[in-house]
Amino acid sequence: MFYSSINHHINPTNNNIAIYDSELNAFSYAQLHQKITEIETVFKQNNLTKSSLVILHFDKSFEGLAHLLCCIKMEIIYIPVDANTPENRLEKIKKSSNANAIVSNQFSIQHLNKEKQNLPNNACCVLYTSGSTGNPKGVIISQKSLASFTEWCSTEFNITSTDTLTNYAPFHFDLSTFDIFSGLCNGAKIWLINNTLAGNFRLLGEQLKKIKPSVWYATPTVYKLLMQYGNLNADYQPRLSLFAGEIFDVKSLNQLRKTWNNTTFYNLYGPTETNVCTFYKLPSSDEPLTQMQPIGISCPYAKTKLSDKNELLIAGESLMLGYLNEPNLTAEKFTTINDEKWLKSGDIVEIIDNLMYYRSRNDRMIKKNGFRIELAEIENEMLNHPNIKQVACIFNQQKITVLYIGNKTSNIALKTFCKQQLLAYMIPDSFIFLNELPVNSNGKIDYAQLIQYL
Amino acid sequence: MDNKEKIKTILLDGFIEVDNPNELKNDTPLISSGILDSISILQLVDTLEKTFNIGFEAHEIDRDKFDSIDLINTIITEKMS
Repeated sequence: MFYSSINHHINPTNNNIAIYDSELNAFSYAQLHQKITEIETVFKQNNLTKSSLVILHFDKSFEGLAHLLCCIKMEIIYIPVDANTPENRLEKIKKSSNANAIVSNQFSIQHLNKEKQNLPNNACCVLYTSGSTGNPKGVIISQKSLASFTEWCSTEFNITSTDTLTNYAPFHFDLSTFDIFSGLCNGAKIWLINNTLAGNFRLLGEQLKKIKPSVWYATPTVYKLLMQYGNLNADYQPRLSLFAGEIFDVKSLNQLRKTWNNTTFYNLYGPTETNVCTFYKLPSSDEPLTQMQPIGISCPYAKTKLSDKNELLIAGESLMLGYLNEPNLTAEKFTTINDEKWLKSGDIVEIIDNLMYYRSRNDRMIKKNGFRIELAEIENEMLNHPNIKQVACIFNQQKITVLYIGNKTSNIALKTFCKQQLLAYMIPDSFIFLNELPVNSNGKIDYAQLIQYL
Repeated sequence: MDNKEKIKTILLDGFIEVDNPNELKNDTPLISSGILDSISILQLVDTLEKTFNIGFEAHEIDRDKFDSIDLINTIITEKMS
């Protein structure tokens, strides 16, 4: 069971600091132990037990993290959902997940379905991500996946009790599994960055000089914003900086390496469905890099190979157990080779001198500011607007544009509508009204032609 | 041009696309409505500081205080006085 591999330091006599929250309050491992024990009692009183499915819907905090850990301890399967999730999206997740209960901001428990579902044995949590059918989809992560990943990180990155890890990513992103689990498992300190602090890079830049975290794991966009607005300089340097989620452009990466010239950098790669499955340690020299960095080689618990169309296929211990209540979608995502299940990543990869390089996607999923977005999900939500009859969404030069036919509507009204349906990072940048959408010979929307309207 | 008009011009020049400038009213919610994303807010704060020759402390950059032209005008007026 996963909890036994991360709880060595969580005990009533360990007074070392475990957590800093966003206001820089410190909480010890002993306090964390006590809080988890208290929550365990409450969960039991509410009939939440092993293999119950519970939505955790709150902003990041000490108490929130204790709820998450209590779920792992009791083998309750948790679904972390961002505090800023619009009501409509939350309702969709409640409905499609069939969760038994939701714990919301004031840590109050609301019961949903009484019946327990037949979830895969060994499931630990469900991370919701953008779905190409237009609805968010829940990736079921196994205890084994998290255990293998945590064990590898602890060794590869030599995490010890002297480290302070920055937890920038929200709990519903797989990036946060590194900070939380490899931190706690090694008795390190974890700095929880909530939504308010995460968006205020000026304040974040000030606070990090007080906390001096030794380890960072974030998307390239976060590092770039820290450089631009956080007043980074060489006075503060982490020993380790990990990045993932999108391509780090060479110019910005060189700038960061120049500022943090004693820091070791790694590029990590892997979709939510497999967590990190490849890694690359950047050369430590001061020489500026001249080309895009590889995603590297397979992690020891993962297997990778290329299909005949150069799509990266992934197998091994970190593989997801499936999409929650989506058997067809799950079946489509896997392929079986010699009786072994492989995940079709959708990423086109090239291998040069035994190192893998990410090249492109083979579908309509995009990465904007490190966030994974299915353009079909945006299109599907836009069709709920009474003035929109048909819609096509394209991504060009890091901007999402929605082209639509129907009744012309102000951009302000459309953005406001999107805010009520979609997570903030999915809201389109602009909207273009057309009299008709171009179609190809099959009568389908011709996306290639849409660029001319930008 | 008064400060509210200046703020509106900044928003329309670099941050908000509209067909008709009248769509953007002084009390139109900017952040809670999704019109400005989190990165735009950082850029907007920088632009306001340069235009009005003021400086915000890190802890003053609270999204609620920048949520409309009226609110931005209030915080700028406080800073300038």
